[in-house]
Amino acid sequence: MMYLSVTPSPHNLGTNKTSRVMASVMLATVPGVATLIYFFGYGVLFQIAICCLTAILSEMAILKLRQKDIAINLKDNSALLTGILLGISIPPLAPWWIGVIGTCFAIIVAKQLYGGLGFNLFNPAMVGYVLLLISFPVAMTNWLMPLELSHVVLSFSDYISAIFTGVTTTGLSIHELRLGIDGITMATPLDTLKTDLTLGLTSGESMQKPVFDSLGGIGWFWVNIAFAIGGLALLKLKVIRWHIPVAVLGSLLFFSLIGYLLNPDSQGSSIFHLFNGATMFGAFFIATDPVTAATSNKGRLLFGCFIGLLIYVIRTFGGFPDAMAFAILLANMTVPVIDYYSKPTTYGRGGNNE
Amino acid sequence: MLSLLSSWSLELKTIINLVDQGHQWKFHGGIHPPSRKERTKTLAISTIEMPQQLFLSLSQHIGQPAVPVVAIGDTVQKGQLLAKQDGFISAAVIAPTSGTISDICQYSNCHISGIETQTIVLTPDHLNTWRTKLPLTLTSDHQQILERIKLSGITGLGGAGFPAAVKLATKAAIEFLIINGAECEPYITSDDLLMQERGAGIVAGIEIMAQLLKPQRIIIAIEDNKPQAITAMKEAAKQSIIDIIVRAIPTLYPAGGEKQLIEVLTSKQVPSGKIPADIGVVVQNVATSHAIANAVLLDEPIVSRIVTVTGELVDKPGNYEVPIGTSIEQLLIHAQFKPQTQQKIIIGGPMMGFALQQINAPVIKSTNCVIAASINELPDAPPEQNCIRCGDCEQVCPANLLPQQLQWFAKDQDHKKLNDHNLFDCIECGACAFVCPSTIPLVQYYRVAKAEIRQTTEDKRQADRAKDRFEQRNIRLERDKQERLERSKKAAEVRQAAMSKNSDGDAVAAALARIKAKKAAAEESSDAPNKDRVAAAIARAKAKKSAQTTSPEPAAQESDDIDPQKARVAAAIARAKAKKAAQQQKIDSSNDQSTNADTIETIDPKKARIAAVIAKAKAKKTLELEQANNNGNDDKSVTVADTIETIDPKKARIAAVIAKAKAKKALEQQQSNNNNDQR
Repeated sequence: MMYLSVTPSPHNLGTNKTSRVMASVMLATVPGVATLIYFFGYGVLFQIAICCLTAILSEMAILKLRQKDIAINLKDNSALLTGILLGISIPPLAPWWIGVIGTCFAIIVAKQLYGGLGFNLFNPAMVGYVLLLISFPVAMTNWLMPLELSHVVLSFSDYISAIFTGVTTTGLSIHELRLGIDGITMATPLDTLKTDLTLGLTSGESMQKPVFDSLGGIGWFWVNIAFAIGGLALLKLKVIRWHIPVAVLGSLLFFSLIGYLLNPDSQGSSIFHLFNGATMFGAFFIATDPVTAATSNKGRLLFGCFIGLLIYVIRTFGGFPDAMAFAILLANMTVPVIDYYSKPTTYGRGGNNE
Repeated sequence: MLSLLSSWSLELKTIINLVDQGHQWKFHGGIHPPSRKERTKTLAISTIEMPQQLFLSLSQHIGQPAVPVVAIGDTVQKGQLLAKQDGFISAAVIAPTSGTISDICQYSNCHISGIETQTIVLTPDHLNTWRTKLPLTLTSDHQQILERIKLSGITGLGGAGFPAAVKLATKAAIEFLIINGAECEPYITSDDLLMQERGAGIVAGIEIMAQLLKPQRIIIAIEDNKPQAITAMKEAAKQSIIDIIVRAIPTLYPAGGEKQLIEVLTSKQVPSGKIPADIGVVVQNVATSHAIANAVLLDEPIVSRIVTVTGELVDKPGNYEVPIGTSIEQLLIHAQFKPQTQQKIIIGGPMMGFALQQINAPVIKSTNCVIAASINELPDAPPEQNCIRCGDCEQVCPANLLPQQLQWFAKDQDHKKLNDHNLFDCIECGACAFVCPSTIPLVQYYRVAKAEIRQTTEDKRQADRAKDRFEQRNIRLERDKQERLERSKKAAEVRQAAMSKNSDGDAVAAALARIKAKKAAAEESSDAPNKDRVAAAIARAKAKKSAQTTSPEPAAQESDDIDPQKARVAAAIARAKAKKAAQQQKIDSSNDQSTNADTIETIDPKKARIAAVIAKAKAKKTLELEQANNNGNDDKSVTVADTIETIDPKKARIAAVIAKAKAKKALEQQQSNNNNDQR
């Protein structure tokens, strides 16, 4: 008798695979990462490399401890993606161990100890980021000023040296690198505005500083644009759906507009909020992480709106300059409730349609 | 109520208006699997040579298996009834050609389970002789037409295999008759070719169904990837005496699902747990419609069907019209099947069809497609990975469920949550599993979960029933016990009352005393008062003894005043005798009665119990009499003391037991007789 293979239906499957989803997201970060490199130098690449390596090694280690199949689980690319996302979030010249600690925590604690891919409540990259931000606030807020404002030209080896030893080959510390021509430390636009507002300046006065240009913060506007382009590509490829990014950006626009109209002197404009810091990166690449987001379309809209609101509130009234990580983690907590109350109406149970 | 009705009819009117304007709706989700229909969609329907044997399963449909009306060795003609439908949801089996019934046995069936079913094996005589045909017309009596459809063994030929006559016999007012030519599953082209080549036959069937159902609108729905079929059907519909709308619907799996098709064409959703007729809709497949026309207008019941044979492993794919019962192996051989070391034979489409387990299984009425797929063409699913909650499944679910949530609950065997999330509204279309990036066999999880829930529900139902029965039994037993106690209490009271009237004494003691007195009286005439004293002593001893066995008080009382009460004793004897006689009579009559009654009716358990009680009482009575007689005899002996001793209480008890047993036996005999009578 000939061998008949008996499998349950359906017998044909689509071509979409988890590994492909993850790889697409990684690829979509390319424009954003390239822009970051353009404005802030190669440090970004090193941070991403450190985080990716750590992610893979820690994933392998924890899978071995958990007695899971290493090859199959590694192939889903989820650890690599976490590494990339965290690497993008870390200041370009942060010491190497920052990325290592953050990634280990993200992979081992935030993901695998919750049961691995699909079981984690919180976005691993953001958990790692927040751990670092709280534990090493100085290192984590030491963003370089844009290269065009810098008076030092860094070579490739300078970056390696700075990341692994804390000083460049010419002996400049990271603090010294962040000094402007006028000898004043330059922070990110969000940080600058926050500090200036606490110093009693108006937002308009703050915006006169060299870190800002007509579009907001120098470099950051374009970084956000680049990440948005990557995000739109993901939408086009149907890797992500529009609900979360649109809701995040829409609600951020809405709340910041209201705030700005009520109090233009002490708050950034909507444009400032939308194209600064991690807004586009977060809206398209972090908040859309399917594992930790709501599942239904309605739920995703709610989830995104909540993130947008939190970004605005934390940026404006909180103690940290940017808010994406906190906003997303807080929203992650609400997912089970959102999912429960945003169940779609099953076919034939609507009542009015009979 | 009236306003509700009018608003409802208004709504209906608007829906019909919208339908008339060509409006269509969308169902939730849906997918675009690769259609792979190109291989066969231009190949005309062709026939294959008559096989050497036909295997006609009695279970080719949803519902009860058919019941054979032929025996091994019978010669049959084409179209002859081989097995009749059993019950409302069942379908007849027809001889696809003339020949001999060579066997009726268990044989492989074209079913997902791979379980063998009762099968009639027909050896064709290759003469293909029809039985006499008695065609009906469109104007024939409805009942007659329905009966003809039923007798022709027509089931839904789209794949589900639901008996067609059941749907057509609905009493509901039908607004829409939908003819399903969507054929949304990949690969399959049998309906496509049928529509292209035999549109007139399909329309004739529609006319018959329209006659039966009197729908307000008739719509033939065809997916827009079948332009030739659409043209052909439009042409055929034009020739019809009735208005038939031919509607091209967007190609989107599973648009051909009954519920989805209804939503696309009418915007209505079939409420959960209801059937389309409940919302005024009947859906029939195009092939079913064609078969109905054949059965009614030509009196040709379902003897063959069109099967698409396709897949990479057949060199001669096609749309073959094959006799029902042809083995799939033979069909594949005809299509030049090239077996490999490993392959899948899929019956139906790749989305909802099943992998065949035995290649010798026959074509049945619902076999619309056979896919001989290489392992590269329809590969096994890669190992399941963790769900990443991407929600793609939810986006494509035509039932608007939350497949990923259902999957978690199914893995947890959380039946309550599964029910809360409407697992049973899943139509198992496979869209969720198709899009799942983690290749989770979602549908399989749902199937298992459904089976588990059904099993649990059934187990619970049975356990509840058993528990209920047990409790009822306990209540009954308790009630019987109470009744018995009540009866014996009453009887005791009556006895007590009767005795206190007589002698303030115990009945047994009284009886003994009576016997004594009688004897004494007999001897009195000859003997001295001396003897009188002896008799008195004996009576006393008797009384004492009986007092030991029964209640002591009254006996003790009585033993002293026997003498002066002789007269009363005699009277008591007479009364007892009379009573006994009366009882005997009653028993006899009641026995007679019960026997007579039981021959007609079922045995009344109460009656039987009464009879038992009576018999027991009788036995007791005989025992008493016996005892009394013994006593009497013994009295004749000289030594009083001895006499008392010889009345062994043990003996009396044994006698009682024997009597009881006898009575019981008699009763049993009687009962069994009654039972026999009954039978």
